[in-house]
Amino acid sequence: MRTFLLLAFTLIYSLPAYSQKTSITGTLIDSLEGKSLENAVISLIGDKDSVLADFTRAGAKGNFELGAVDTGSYILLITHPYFADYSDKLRLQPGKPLNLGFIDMLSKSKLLEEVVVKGGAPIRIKGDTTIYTADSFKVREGANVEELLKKLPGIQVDRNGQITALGEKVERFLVDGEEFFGSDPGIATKNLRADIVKDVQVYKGKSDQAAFTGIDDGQSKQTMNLVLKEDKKKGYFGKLEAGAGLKNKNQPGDQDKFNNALMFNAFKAKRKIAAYGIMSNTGKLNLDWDDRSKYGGGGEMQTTEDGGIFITSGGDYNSSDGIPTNWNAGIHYNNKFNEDKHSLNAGYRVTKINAPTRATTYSRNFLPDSTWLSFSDNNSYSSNIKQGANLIFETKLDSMNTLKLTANGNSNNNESSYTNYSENRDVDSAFINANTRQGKNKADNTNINANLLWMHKFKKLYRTLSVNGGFNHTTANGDALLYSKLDFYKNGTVDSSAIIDQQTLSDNLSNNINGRIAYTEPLMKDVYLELNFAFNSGKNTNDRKVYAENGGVYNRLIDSLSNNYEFNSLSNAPGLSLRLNKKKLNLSAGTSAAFTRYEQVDISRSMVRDYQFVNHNPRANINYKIKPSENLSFNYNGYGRAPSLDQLQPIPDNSDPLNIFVGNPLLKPSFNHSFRINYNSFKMLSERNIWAYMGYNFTQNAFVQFSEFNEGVRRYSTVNTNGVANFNSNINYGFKIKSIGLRLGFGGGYNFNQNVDFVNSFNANDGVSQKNITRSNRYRLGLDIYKSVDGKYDFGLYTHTAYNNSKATVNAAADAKYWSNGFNFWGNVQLPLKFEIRTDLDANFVQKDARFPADNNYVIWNGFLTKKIYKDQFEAKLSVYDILNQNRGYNRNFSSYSFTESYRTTLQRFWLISFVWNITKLNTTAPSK
Amino acid sequence: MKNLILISLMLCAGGVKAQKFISSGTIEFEVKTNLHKSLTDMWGDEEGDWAKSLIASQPSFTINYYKYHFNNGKANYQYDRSGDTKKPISWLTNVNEDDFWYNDYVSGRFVNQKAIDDNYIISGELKKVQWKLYPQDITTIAGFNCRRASAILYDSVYVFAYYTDEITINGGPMSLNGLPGMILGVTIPRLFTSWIATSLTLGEPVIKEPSRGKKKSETELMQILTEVGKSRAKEWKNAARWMNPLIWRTFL
Repeated sequence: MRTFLLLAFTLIYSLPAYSQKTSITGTLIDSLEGKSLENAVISLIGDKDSVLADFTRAGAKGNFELGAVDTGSYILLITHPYFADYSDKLRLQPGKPLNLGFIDMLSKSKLLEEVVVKGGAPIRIKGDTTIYTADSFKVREGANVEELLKKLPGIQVDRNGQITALGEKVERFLVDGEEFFGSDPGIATKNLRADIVKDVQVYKGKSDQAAFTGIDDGQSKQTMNLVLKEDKKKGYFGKLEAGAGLKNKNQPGDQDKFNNALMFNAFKAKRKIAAYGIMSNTGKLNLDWDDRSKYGGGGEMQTTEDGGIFITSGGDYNSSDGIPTNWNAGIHYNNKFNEDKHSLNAGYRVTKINAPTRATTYSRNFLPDSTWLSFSDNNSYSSNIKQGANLIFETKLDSMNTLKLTANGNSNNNESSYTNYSENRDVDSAFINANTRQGKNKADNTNINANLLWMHKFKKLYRTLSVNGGFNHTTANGDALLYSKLDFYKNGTVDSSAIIDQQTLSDNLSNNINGRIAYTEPLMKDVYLELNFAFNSGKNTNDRKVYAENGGVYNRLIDSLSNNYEFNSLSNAPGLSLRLNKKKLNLSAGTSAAFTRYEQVDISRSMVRDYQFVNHNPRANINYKIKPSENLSFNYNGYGRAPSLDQLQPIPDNSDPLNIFVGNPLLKPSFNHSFRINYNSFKMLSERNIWAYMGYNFTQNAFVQFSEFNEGVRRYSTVNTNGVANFNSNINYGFKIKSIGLRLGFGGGYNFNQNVDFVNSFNANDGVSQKNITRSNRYRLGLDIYKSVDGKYDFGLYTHTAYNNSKATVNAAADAKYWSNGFNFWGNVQLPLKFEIRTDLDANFVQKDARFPADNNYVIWNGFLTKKIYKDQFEAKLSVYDILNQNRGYNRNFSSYSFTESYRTTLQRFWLISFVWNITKLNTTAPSK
Repeated sequence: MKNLILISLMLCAGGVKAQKFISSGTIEFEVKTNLHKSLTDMWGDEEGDWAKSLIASQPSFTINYYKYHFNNGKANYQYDRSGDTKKPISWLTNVNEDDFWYNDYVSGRFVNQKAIDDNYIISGELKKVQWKLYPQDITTIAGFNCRRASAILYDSVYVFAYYTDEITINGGPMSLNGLPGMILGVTIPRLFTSWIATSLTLGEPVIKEPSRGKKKSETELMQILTEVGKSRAKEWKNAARWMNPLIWRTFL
């Protein structure tokens, strides 16, 4: 159609090109009143196409001249604000300049009946809108709007597509209140299908239907407006996937693989119902990014006042050690009602994960007076059921008021059993101690929270009030059985043993209510003030009872390990912030002061501890736009953190008899300062980008560990200290080599980390503790390459190399220096016959440290071959994971007084054959009735 | 403001006859874009798409005010302020606050400052637009009687304009021109945007030519943008849907 139009216009325009030039002259007069006609507009309009050919304004005496006009047929239109329009048909002939002589502008007789819209000016009648409901008129399947209109009583459509409604020609034709390719109704009526039309409205002129354009039509005109059906979009899509593979014979205990999924989404207008189910033992624990937004609840995207954006992830993320087998299911519903005034978003999901895991850990520990080695081997099996439900309801009460209710409920039931062997040896390999233990844990957690937000806008622009209130209720119940035998060695033989046989019942309850009121006032142009007040009250209790075995039952309470404790907090926080929004500069700064009271009640020992303090929360943000494509920002944030009840409750936790944690009721809140500078530049034309940032954080009264050792058994608690800090920086430079369409990027960075902890010497309780400061540096360089050719292939390569060093003041033997290198590659090639090859590769090479047993290099390589069948509706896929069979769940950690290398059982090489059925039925049109 | 203009018009009409036509002053334009529709048009409307939730997070409309200063057959058009209560993400709106237009309708020349990456100064001949008139179609904008016209730019983009003969400059917002009077209202359905004059202040503003920026001709810049569009389209076939509105806006 567009081509046709273009062709038509081209033909019309090309006609006068062969014509010759001539001119028109004349003089405008007002014979009745003799008023000046200076500046009256004389326009020459093409007779056939209505195109403005030339125009001029009348001179001081009403005289005008249009020189060098193409010959042909025209309409001459003379307009003046205080005179009636004048129009006349002209025919300009070659070599015959036209002198129109005097034109008397008094004349109203020759109005515009000849111009453009054949059939003349509309008769003005004031009348209500006439509405035809389209579905009440039966048309054939696939009929267009024109056919529908012919069926409507009072509406006629002539051969040329001109519409007459209620006896008047339709001059303005709208679709959903908007102009549809100008006023030419033919384009719309012939191209739109009848069954997507809900109503046909016929009305006179001035109407709020024209709200979109904002143009208040002074004139009333016969207007036809097609209101399209809301449910014009309706349909469903989904996918069914079944995959199977044989087990890896080299991995003991491995099972045949399966990965099955069913996902479905049915939508109608704004209503969406989505559901999914997954069962897999191939590590597919979550919906992937794409499926999450299609079939899961999806993330919610929100914007801040100054145009920033943040994404709240929908649902939660599952992870598991070992080789998990999982079953997931979820259902999600969202809809909007009453012209989008109300929106509802609700979902439920459940996940069960069974996972056997074996983890081995090698550590080397350093204290001022000694070095020793630790080894542990842990076998466990856990079964976890997680459920979650969420609800968001938002309603616009009126244009000034919005209410939003957010509610979530989650539960988690975990059962696990384990056997563990741990040992500590000195550098000569002689035993210090050895522990074997086994146990069963059961933990049931529930959490409910709800939040209600009311937002009010005032008549004054930018003046707003928001009131927010919420509560949070959490329970955690635990039941743990532990049998442990710990042998202490002297001179190579067992000197003494300690046996633990106990049951631990814990009951944790936490309730929290909070509220916040914020008021924003525009102080002057571009300056806004926010005043706010926040209130928070929390009550948290933990009742822990440890029973020793007594003739086959656990009923003898161990007082030294049992305790009932309460931690309450109350804070009132007034605050204010200022915001400045200028063209180049955005600035905001503010603070709040939280007057806080902590109360700790040791119910078992009838002790109360009170602590009152003021927690400030200063923030500053500066954003400066250097150029349209260049931005510099600075950010500071200071915030406090409260200790957790676990950190406070003053009893030992002996569930790991070699590492006993003891609570510290003297713990104060910590305070963190965070500074960040960002620079970014993106040149659209050259496709060159620079991203750079620097960040520095330091913590006052940071929570760190205080460890004491006695015959290789560590007792530790949390204490406050200063000196914990880190610095991060990164710069990336990228550009596109246009000749070959390749994107290239270079990156580099430096990180510094300073941690503090306290240790005493290895032997004896000499009471001397030493502050251990661990400083680590990491220098990084990277290169990345990316190329994509749409529909053919794409690939990316990312390499990284880093030099690490770490020093601990506790013992020079704890220093470490090493290189780590690696790269990631992924690629995708579309082959003929709808075959597609995809691969990804993750390679890591870590310099060997002589103090550890094994080599640390591994390459994890996955490959996929897909064939699409029958219009992409079906897919057959062969997947091979970890082709080189090198995945060992390796991790290296250098921290505080120890180095640790650990290995976990993880999914190793396996292959899978899958079939996918993509089901799609999309109706952009609803079936007509 | 409207009333003031009307009163001043009446005074002019009743007094010195030669002054009932306005030849200098400042017009404020309200520029309103249906953000939901324009973004959906650029990115598609697939169910479950991330783009959809991004669009849903944005306000339906974005409103900005621009000032049109005119005097002696020359004019400047420039950004004035935002009218949004909820700010959209800046890179979604395609509003460059640094853009500055200079049009000389007498000599048919323009010099514009375009804020793409850097500031570019582009200059050339004013567009010769083939306007089609609908003389019986009259509307009042900011107290002025306006007549309707339409044109097709860039081969396929429909532009609807409302002009008044009571203002003698043959201009309009951006570089739109060529009607017998001042364009006070524009709608471009393909860009889901309207430009509507809200008020006129009489005065004799000084009209400036922009000078800060790298000099490029209109065709050179157009060529660069088209190249970028083509190079993107090789990587991603929908790039054109995203680039075209940007190019159209840049050269309006």
